[in-house]
Amino acid sequence: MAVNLRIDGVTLTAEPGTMLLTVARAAGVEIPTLCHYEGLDGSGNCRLCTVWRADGEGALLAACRSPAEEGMEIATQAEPARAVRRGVLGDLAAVDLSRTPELLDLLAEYGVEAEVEGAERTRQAEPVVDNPFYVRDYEKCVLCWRCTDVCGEAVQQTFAITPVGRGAESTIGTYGGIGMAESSCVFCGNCVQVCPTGALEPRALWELGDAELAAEERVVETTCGYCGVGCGLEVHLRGDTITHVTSDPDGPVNQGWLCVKGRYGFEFADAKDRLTAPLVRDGDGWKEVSWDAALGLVAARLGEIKAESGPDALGMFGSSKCLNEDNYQLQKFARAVLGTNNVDNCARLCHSSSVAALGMSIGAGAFTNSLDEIAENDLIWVTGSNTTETHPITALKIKAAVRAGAKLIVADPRRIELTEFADLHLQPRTGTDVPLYNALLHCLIRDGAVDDDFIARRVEGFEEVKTVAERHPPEYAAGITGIPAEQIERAARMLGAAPKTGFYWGLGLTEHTHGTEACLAIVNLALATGNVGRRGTGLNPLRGQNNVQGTSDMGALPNVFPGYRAVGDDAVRELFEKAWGVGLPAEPGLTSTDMVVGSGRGGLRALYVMGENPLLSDPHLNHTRKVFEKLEFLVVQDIFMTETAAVADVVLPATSWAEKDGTYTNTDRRVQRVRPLRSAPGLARADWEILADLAGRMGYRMEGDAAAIFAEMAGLTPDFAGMSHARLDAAGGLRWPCPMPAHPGTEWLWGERFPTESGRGRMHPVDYRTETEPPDTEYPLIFNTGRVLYHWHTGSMTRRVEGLEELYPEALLEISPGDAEELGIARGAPVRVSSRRGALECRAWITKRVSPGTVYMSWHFAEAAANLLTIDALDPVSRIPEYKICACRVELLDGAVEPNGASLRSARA
Amino acid sequence: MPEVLVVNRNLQKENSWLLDTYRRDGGYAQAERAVRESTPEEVIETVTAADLKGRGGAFFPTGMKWKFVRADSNTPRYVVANGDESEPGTYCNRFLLEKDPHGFIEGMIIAAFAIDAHTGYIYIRGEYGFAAERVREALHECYVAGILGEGIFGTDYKLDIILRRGAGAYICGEETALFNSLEGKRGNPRFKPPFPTNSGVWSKPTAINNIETFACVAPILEHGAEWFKGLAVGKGNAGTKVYCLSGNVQKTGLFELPLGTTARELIFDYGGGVADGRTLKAFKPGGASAAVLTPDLLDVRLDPSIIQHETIMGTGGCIVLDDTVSIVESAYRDALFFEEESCGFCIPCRQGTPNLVQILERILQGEGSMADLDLLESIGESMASSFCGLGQFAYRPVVGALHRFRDEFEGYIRGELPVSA
Ligand SMILES: Cc1cc2nc3c(=O)[nH]c(=O)nc-3n(C[C@H](O)[C@H](O)[C@H](O)COP(=O)(O)O)c2cc1C
Ligand code: SF4
Ligand code: SF4
Ligand code: SF4
Ligand code: FES
Repeated sequence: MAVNLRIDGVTLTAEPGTMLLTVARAAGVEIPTLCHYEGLDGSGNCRLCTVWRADGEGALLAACRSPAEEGMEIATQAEPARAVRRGVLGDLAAVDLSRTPELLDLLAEYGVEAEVEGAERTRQAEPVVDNPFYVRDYEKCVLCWRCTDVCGEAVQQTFAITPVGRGAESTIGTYGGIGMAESSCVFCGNCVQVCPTGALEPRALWELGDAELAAEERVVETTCGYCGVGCGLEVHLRGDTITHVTSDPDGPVNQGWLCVKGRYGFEFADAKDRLTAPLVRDGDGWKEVSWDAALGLVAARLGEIKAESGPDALGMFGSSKCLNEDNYQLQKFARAVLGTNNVDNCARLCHSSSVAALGMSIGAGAFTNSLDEIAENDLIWVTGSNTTETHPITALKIKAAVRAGAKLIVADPRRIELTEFADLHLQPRTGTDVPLYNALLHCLIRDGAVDDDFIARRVEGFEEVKTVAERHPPEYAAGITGIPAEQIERAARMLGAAPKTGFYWGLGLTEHTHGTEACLAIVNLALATGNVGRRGTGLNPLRGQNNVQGTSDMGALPNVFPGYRAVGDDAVRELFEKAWGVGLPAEPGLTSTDMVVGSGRGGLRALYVMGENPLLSDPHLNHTRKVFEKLEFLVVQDIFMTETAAVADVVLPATSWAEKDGTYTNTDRRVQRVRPLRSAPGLARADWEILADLAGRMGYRMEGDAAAIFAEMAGLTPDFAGMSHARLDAAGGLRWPCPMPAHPGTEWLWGERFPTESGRGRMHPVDYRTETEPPDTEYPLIFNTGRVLYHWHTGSMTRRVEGLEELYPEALLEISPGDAEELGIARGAPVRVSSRRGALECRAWITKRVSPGTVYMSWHFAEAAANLLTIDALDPVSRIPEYKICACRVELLDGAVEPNGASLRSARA
Repeated sequence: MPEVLVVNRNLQKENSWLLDTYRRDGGYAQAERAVRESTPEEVIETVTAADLKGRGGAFFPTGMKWKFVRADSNTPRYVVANGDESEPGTYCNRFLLEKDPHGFIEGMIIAAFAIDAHTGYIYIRGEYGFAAERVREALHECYVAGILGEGIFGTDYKLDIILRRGAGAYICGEETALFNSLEGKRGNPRFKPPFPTNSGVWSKPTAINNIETFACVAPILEHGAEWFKGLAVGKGNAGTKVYCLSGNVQKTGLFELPLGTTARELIFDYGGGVADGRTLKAFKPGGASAAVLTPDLLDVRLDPSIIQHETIMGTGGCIVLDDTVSIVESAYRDALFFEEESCGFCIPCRQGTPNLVQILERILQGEGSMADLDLLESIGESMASSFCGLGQFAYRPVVGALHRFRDEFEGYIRGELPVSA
């Protein structure tokens, strides 16, 4: 029931519980605020928003936190309230408000004299510059506590900073007064964004000279180019220089919160070694050439090889880092110009198992639900995903949901940050997911906790799966997984009891030779409990890269056209043949792993790689390198001279995130605009444009700009038919399916039927298979690989960001204390890690994050490339490599243990 | 006239703090009867009918508080005893904690039963080391005797009570700051609403009461609501109040008297009047937070109605100031106290408390101006909107003194009074 109240004499109605400030502002009544930040509860401690409650005995109320009540009579300008504001502003006069003109105006309005500029610093001797990304100048701090709220319970739950001291001596600091870089801070900069006075200021902005500061600021709204969350960014520039990044608190994906890469990882775009001109190999070196010369050469060589060996001697890699438009263009180029389906992208290496398993079971391989619905999950199931580091904003949503009462189960061999928030951490031995999920299903079936009605209505294949589950009592699974049976029982009870469970997984589940089966096992569980096809539930693979979803959506895959329509389907092929005006191949092409591993239907002679770096990202690098060296012709289109570009015949300079104009699709199918911040350096050109130029030289016309390419794609792909650049500009992002121009996009999928032939979800019985290379006496440890917060993939971007390098400068081997002791390894000691395929040297980080018997490394670092060790065994269905498990050996190297300062700073746990 | 000993009834007994002593005279019989024979509703009804109001200073009706907690379906619920007692001039809780811990623990058990709580906390200020020891021993006795723990009094009702200590901050007596402190966080207050009855410790519905409030509960159940109401004098009052008398008075100490006893009775009949042959200049009826009153107001009742005289009843710590006392200096001392104790969370109090000190210092040193007096008033006006009770009251001893003794302030400013401080 709405309440009636009066504000400044005007009668208003409000929903009960609405704060007076909100009611007033909606009615156009301005009340000054300081500590309040839209979207947060706010501390309510500045009292600047004080209003006078005139009814009853009269009272002073803080409008930002006082709910509207029936019959209230509020006077915003009554003298007692103004007196309070005068007092508060008077107290602020001693603060350096030079970066906050609005506050200075307010002071003037209330007749309070601000302290003169250049006054003596009384509160803090010097601004603290103790980290690469932001400066803390508490001379400007008004102690609004926004920053500590955001770092604490309200958003990050990192608790790096806290109010310290009491009374007039209060200030903000770290626990124990240690430096920011030594604290638990993860440099999300979310505190900086909310600071109202510039006490926390981006370092790049702080370092600007007066002249630069005076230059006019431009703000470009775009989408983050790092992970699959797809956060909205507001990039601030002066001239062509990016000064800092903020995010719109009303943004639908991330509500204004960012992680360190999104907020501070932009410097790479201005790196001195950006590729700015086409290069062709000249002996051991390179020769800069014109576009004409470069593309002429590429056209000629591709044409020759095609003429000699047929189109399937050619292959192309699309890029999950590039635009939808780039990838659409690339697969079109492969099919229509080269005439081959040998086109793939790096989704092969991360979620191909998810896509395969979801395709086989529920008919479509994407997030069935949305990131927003995390807030509606009663139980959140996270497995094989170090969400905090690889999908930071998703982790914030999970932590917020847990805070609001949701239960969290994390199944992960490592003790990752999310386990600290979990009700239950299941710690399986790496690669034993299948028996775990079978055992959970066993318990649920035994206890009658499956959703019989859902199974009867919407599922097929339950009986076969039941037979397998019956063979998997928890005690049996405990033997394989190492998880105590009672924990499996408890997890099953929680699953059975939760009305709505959302399943979220990452590469820990997929990157195995049984990755598809592991995904099928989790699908079985969701189907058995009715946790798919319903709001607030879902099978949700957390897609890694900014546009890994979109790249596959666009058909940069060997077996499907855009929209996942089989190349072998005559009707579909005819549609594209008609649109593109050429005959198209019907046979599925080679996957990227088959192209590289060469174990497939070989014969590949030339490869065209757009924005990928397989020579660091593919498994068994020594072998991969040989394959690449054997290629007759390699073209790499990139923004840097990557490890792969270095062995190419032609290198073509492309635009980076900072210069791109088009769209990315995030992990929950939301298509969003990417906008250029400035023009491309040197001769660099858009990826799609290079391809169009090349097509022309090979006798095929590809016309139109990015918007036109998108329109062509949308015209041919029903799921995108309702989208266009113009509509995305206006709507700020739409989730496919969006079949009509008026369609709002789709939050969650398959409410009535699954897009399978029968319309039902199919369960597949799956059984445990061991890894390809179990540890043995010679190589006794399990080698597991993944990513860290501060870096991105092969590091070509993040390692060119000075601050990220400062915080995480080198590869570290995570090893458990017991294993380290046995091997005589001290913290930070140099070690040699080897497998049957290769070896590397790095330093050790002794941590309980990994369990005994397992070591872990990230693969971002070329100088200690984890993929030298990984095995190139492939999942038979998805062709994903077994990145997550192979056998290795660790030895202590001679040599000094270097001081642990910088490099172990990020290794705090 | 003798005192009316209800909550202090056991203090003079030998070994008064031991369970045996307490039980010998019927101790824990009320808790046992409540848990075994009554319903929570009956308990709440009796406490409501007795019109018991919180002795922590706000005089909120206790029965109503418990009813609100019970009405919130969120569980678990908690009961908390506030033993932070840090108001200068107040020490009534201290004697209960040291000499009769079982008295208030029994009240807590009854309260826990009434709101269906299975965990209670006792929060004792850091400086009360001996009191905490006594309480710890008392809790131990209770566990051994089956009065606390699994299945108390042979029923299946489970109740744990946990002792927690403060660390020297006055603000941690404010209920929401106390919850933060209990939870291991920085002791600053939280926004209300939500109120503790819905979101207290661990953000769960919580009944928090003063030690003395809890100590009233068992006697109420024993003798009935009407008896309790009959103990007090003056409109709207029920029960007794343990007044603490200090300052320059013949007899300082605790006096348990009918709630609503006048200042004259307390200071002269029980305290024997001003000591050293001096005369009364002023008195503060409720600790440091209360503004001074002048002798013409000696007949006001020491109960919540005193608020009409621009001061507060607070915790009943009455401080007597004789004719040698400088009122400005006394106000200055109060201001120093609040400057020291301001938690620093909100702007008006964080800045206002040191500002008051500065100005009073100036005045006492003969360097003040008449404009400073306006400044004191306007600081008060903004501190009125402080975040919590500390700041909302901290200026009143100063501004109240100014209103009643303006001459004296002006005297310092004009240089007619000796420089001090
Ligand atoms: C600054 C401040 C200090 C307080 N200190 C105490 C205290 O030491 N003991 C206490 O019982 N109540 C104290 N209170 C009151 C409590 O917030 C709360 O109202 C009381 O514990 C409720 O118990 P009651 O209803 O039994 O009085 C204080 C309040 C404020 C604003
Ligand atoms: S640093 Fe900024 S956000 Fe933090 S308390 Fe100070 S003014 Fe507020
Ligand atoms: S940058 Fe992020 S983690 Fe670091 S202090 Fe600020 S909010 Fe906390
Ligand atoms: S009024 Fe004083 S004690 Fe209360 S919150 Fe504000 S600063 Fe802290
Ligand atoms: S804006 Fe309301 S108290 Fe700060």
